[in-house]
Amino acid sequence: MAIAATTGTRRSTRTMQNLLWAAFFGILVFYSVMAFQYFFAHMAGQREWWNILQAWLVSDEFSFGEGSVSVDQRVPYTANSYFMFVHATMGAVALAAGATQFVSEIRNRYPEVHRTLGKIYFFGIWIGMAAGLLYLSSISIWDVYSGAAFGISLWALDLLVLATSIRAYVAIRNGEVVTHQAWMAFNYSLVLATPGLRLFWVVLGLTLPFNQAQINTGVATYLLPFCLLFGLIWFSAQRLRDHRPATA
Amino acid sequence: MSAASQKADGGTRKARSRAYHGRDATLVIGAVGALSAVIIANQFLLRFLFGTDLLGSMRTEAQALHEVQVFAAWAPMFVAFVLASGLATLSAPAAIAAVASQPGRLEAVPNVVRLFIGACLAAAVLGFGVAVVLGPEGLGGTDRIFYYGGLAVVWLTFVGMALLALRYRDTGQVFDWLLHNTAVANIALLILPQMYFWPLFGLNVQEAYSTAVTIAPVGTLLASYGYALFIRDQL
Repeated sequence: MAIAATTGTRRSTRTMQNLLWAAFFGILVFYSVMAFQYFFAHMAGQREWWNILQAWLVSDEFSFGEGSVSVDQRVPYTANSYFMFVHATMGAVALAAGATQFVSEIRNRYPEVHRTLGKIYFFGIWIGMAAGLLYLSSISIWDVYSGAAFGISLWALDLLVLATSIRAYVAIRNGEVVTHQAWMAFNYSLVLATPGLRLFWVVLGLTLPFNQAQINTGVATYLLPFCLLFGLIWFSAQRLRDHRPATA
Repeated sequence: MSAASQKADGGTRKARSRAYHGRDATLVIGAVGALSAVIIANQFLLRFLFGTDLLGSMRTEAQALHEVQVFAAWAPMFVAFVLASGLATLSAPAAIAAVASQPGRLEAVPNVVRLFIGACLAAAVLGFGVAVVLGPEGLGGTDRIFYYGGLAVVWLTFVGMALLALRYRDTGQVFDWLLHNTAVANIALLILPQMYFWPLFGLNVQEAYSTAVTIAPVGTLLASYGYALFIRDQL
């Protein structure tokens, strides 16, 4: 009876884990679709799906009024739309492709799928970050949304995403699986800053009396370490699972 | 050599390896922690008592006056925050070394580890409290409140993960999470230089502060993460 209870507990834990992964993946794919569509709409002069959703969740003023990305960045986005188009679409592809890479069943049972999605991820990241850096190079740091502090942070983020992805790629080419996993966890955590920022825009936009630009600067101060929680905890859980002694 | 003795020999090598890196790490983390403790003590206590503000030229008169008034009203909280932060940064090297000396599985939780984790917990909560009472009128403005609040959530999660690792008694996991907690405790060391660095490129004080607090945690966590992997590679 004790063994049955333990097995039942493990099964429910596994079910809960699967549900959480499914929810995580679903949210990321949902966001990736909106990110992919963003600059198609922007270049066509239409309202972007993300901004429409944000307006519905928070308010029209927050999404389309003073201090919003729509207003503050209309000129620089339009002037450099090709860089931002590539950055957003490639980033969206990488975000969706990368999400499944952390599910051990997929990695272990379908290694070729893991490798293919990994190549798509690296392609998306490298092209997307290069386009992001080209965009940042083409405007003044003070013209970046919500100011110079955020602009410098974006520079640092883009460079760090590139550097850690290259480190992870070199590791797997050298057969260093654990090092590859570690740097991919760190790398993907940084990439999660993009949907993470949008999530905080909505949550804090609903709860605080600030406009989007003010919330953006505030959230940026803790966003990266917050997102790194994902990678650090995932990698720690992997190592703990590898070291846990087998039961009799 | 039998499989059992090979495994034991590997465990002895692991112990020796961790002990070797523990000595180097103790020195570096100790030096970093001492500097961080001085910076935190200066910014949240000493400058009010002795007028030795490392960022004195950057505060406006109104900001300086406001912060003095807040300190006068909330001095015990400031003192407690400085003590907790100092305890965290200064006990970190001993805590990490104590864990590193028990390879494989922690048989007993060293008291210095309990002290370090308790100090981190207190510093996270008190840091947010200090930011709230200082309010948006001080140096850093509203961004300081966002920063200390968000960082408190992150740091408390790190503390929780360290406690979970202690529950499983896995030396490697405890070692890693103590390192990450140490990284957060020592963020001040990367913030202060940036307050002088970014104005060289035309940023004003508020912009320099927001940039510094955004980048500093990633820098320290990158260092702790890289070091944890380096140690693992040596085993």
